[in-house]
Amino acid sequence: MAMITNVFKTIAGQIELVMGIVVLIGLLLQKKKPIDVVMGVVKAVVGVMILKQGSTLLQAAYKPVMEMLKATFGVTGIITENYSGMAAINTAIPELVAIVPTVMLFGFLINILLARFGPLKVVFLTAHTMLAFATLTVWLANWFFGVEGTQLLIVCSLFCGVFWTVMPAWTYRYSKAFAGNGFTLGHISGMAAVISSRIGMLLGHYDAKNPRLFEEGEEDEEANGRFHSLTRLFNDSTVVTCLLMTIVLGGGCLLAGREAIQEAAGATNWVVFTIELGASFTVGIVVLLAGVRMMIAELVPAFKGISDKLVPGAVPSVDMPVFYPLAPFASVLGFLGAFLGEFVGFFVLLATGSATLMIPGIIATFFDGGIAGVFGFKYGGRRAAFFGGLVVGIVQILGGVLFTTMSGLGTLGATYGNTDFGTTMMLLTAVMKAVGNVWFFVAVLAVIYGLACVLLRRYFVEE
Amino acid sequence: MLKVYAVCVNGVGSSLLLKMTVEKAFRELGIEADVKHIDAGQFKGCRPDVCITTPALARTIGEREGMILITTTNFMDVKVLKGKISEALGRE
Repeated sequence: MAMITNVFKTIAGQIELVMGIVVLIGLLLQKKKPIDVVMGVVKAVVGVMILKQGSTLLQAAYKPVMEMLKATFGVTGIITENYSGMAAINTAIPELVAIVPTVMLFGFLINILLARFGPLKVVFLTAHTMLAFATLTVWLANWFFGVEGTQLLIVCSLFCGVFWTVMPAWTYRYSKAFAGNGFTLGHISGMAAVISSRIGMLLGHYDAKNPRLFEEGEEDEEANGRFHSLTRLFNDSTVVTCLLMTIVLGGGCLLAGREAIQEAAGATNWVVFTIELGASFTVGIVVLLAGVRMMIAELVPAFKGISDKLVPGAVPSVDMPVFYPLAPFASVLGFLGAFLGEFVGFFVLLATGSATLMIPGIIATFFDGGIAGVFGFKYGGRRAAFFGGLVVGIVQILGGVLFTTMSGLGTLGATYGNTDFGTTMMLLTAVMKAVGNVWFFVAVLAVIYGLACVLLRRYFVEE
Repeated sequence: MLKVYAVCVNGVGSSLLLKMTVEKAFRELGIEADVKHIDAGQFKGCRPDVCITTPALARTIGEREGMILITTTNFMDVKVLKGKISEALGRE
């Protein structure tokens, strides 16, 4: 008996095996053929293991630069990138993160229940975001409340379930007008859409009684054509991540000086070391994404199947790029704005002598900037697309630094990057810090959900 | 069986959704298709019969001999995609 319990404990302590079980349940619920079930479970387990390897590679790529900055300037440099945050948490609390797949499953089920019986009919389907977010809730709950086991599972699942319902419902209020009721944004960048829509409404003199939405015309199409080589670059995430991270990480190195670089590089020539940093970072991301892709390809159809069956007519909340075709040129403008905003934020931190420096992680800039571009443009035209992006970039850095230091992620030398972390999550972290008790926090979550229902329910009433 | 690829920038989230929509469209049209999803960078090495993506990415991918390129601006709309697929396949 003791041996059996031990085996169970060991399985429950391995994130990839727990993920395998979660996917198994999903596939059985869909009544898949036995061979498909076997294939799906294998892919989920292998996918998570690839993801772990990618995490190690990713950390190995940026850590030397951060250590260099620390040794030379005494500042803690932290890259605003979700996967670096997730990777660091996985390494820091390996026994606790094994609960993550279960949190994902229960969080999703709470989302389904809230959509089925509550007024906010949205279902969160972006599984890679769910994984990153569920991992973060485990870290936060453990950091602030020290909870483990069942308590950890309860508070994290509720946190996820409420967040995955409220944020998409909030973005739906803005996306409904131009994207219809077929989908809305399901990501941890919801605030990029909200902020940019508000800026758009301001710049476009939006009138609720006589709403006017901007459409991209021939002129934008032409402008897009003129930037053809630029958009081609942005259409390949491997290339754009590598080039920009080479600039960011290489720049960090050069600030520290040649001797410091040579020390970190060891036997490798310091120039080669600096040039290859961005590429090594990209290798980590590409490997990590290969694992994520393999894993979620099994999970998302199951989630979609469950939601179609239990909450027919709910608005699926999906990943950011689904929005870019609605205003492709605006998404590029938004990205350029966000890129500039991140550097504005970075130099503000530098100028104010902040002990923690947020280093633009590019991926969140790229994607959230695109979202800010689309939402800003729809309500306020081109200017709003750019300025929406700019504000989002600044918020990611300046809000992000508060989030990182308060959440304890700073102690790991990593953080998350999307706009929600510099805004809503920053506030929620402050609340967690203030309440200091796990059940008080659960009550706060209930209040947030209740408020959201009151404020947002009218957008879900069919005309 | 048709070899079909759904393509997006990262090949993780949105192309997976597009893939699910495309699968449903083919199923409803009664056409047998093996649908995979991938990012635009890696798509270079793939040789499918049909590629479905956004207009912006289609410019990057470009027309290819022997490949049908279909573009959509709505990843979730099965009806629109069904029309586009049957139109594109009918022309061949």
